[in-house]
Amino acid sequence: MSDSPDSAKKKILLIDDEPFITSLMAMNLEDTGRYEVREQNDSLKALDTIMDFVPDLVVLDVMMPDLDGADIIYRLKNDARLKHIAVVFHTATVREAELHAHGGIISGFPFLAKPATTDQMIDFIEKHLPK
Amino acid sequence: MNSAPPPDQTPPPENTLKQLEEAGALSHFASSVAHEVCNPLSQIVLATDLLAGPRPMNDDLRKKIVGFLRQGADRIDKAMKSMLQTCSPIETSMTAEDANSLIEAALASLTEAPSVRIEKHFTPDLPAILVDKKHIIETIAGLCANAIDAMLPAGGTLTLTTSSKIFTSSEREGWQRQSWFRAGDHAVVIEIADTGHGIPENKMGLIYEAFFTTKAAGQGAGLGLTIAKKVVDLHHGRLEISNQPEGGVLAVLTLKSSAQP
Ligand SMILES: Nc1ncnc2c1ncn2[C@@H]1O[C@H](COP(=O)(O)OP(=O)(O)OP(=O)(O)O)[C@@H](O)[C@H]1O
Ligand SMILES: [Mg+2]
Repeated sequence: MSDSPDSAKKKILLIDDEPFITSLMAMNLEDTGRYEVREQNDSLKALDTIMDFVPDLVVLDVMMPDLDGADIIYRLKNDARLKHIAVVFHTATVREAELHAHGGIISGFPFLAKPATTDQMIDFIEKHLPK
Repeated sequence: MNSAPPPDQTPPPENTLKQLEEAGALSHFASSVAHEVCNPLSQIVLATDLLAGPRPMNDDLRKKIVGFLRQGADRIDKAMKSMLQTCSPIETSMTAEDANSLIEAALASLTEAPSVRIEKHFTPDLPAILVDKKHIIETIAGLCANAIDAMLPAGGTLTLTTSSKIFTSSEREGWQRQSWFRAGDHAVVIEIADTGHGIPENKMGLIYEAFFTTKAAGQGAGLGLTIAKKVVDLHHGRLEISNQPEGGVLAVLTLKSSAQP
């Protein structure tokens, strides 16, 4: 499905407790041929997966059982090995109008409101992938 | 545009959430509704993208996409119905009932969990309680379902106890205007005890909140106790939920009764 070598693909990690959403996002993103995608639906395993996969960008849900998005970002940013990894939020809890009001960045991190289309997701990922 | 640099000094989670709340200015209720609707919506949007995308279609994929769409639609439907139920007044029709029989009816409505043992300590010939039968059965069933969920998959014991009591002094919960007992009131007490994982003390204050759940997506709507509390208030009864010292949760439902069996 890809015409570029895997090493040229950006690694995206999707952390969301909803397996249907991550599997659909993964399929849509993989179909572009531009990304290598991994999913993690268990928030307690999020940090281990980040350590193991070393993604270019993490797409993180906010409301999850056990650890929520804020807990994960807190732990990530306080871990010297992981703090450089780019993180964006993908969440159902912020409305479109509020996103614009804050330039898309709340508490210092970019947000994308659910439901977002695959095209919106790709634009958002491209905008926030470390160059 | 470059990616936003994360702040050097990451605030602790409480602050982050607080900022989120200020920024979003959404009440817990509204954000919970958003969660229960926007997630399945997201699923539907992404499924249609997959349908419109380059992936070669075959029977398996078609089935999968149809499943995603249907499940998403069902979930929104359920969320809307639950929300309406939570926000609208509960209609009641009161009849004199026997608490032990209502518990049996509630147990019969639950899916069996073979690893959970059920122990009944029923006091026979209880005085009648004047209740809305359907709502009280649902309330008891919801409390039992919570107890069972907390014991799965390992299993445990669900203990159901009934008794009658006469209040010797006035008791009323300050914040709960509708629920009180006066000296001399007769009541039936239904106790539902489990040997499950209990409720973390810092979550105790949240359990009656609409959409508060610790269960996986699709497993619990977080409305059981919200509605239970509304129903019990409507009966001028009392629902107390606490952790037991020996582990597990004890739910005590107290409902006014007639004086005689
Ligand atoms: N007996 C119990 N043991 C442990 N935790 C409990 C118990 N009862 C309630 N809880 C906690 O309180 C939360 C809220 O309970 P509630 O019944 O309102 O919602 P739910 O069971 O998650 O979903 P729903 O009842 O709508 O299907 C539960 O998710 C659970 O975390
Ligand atoms: Mg419940």
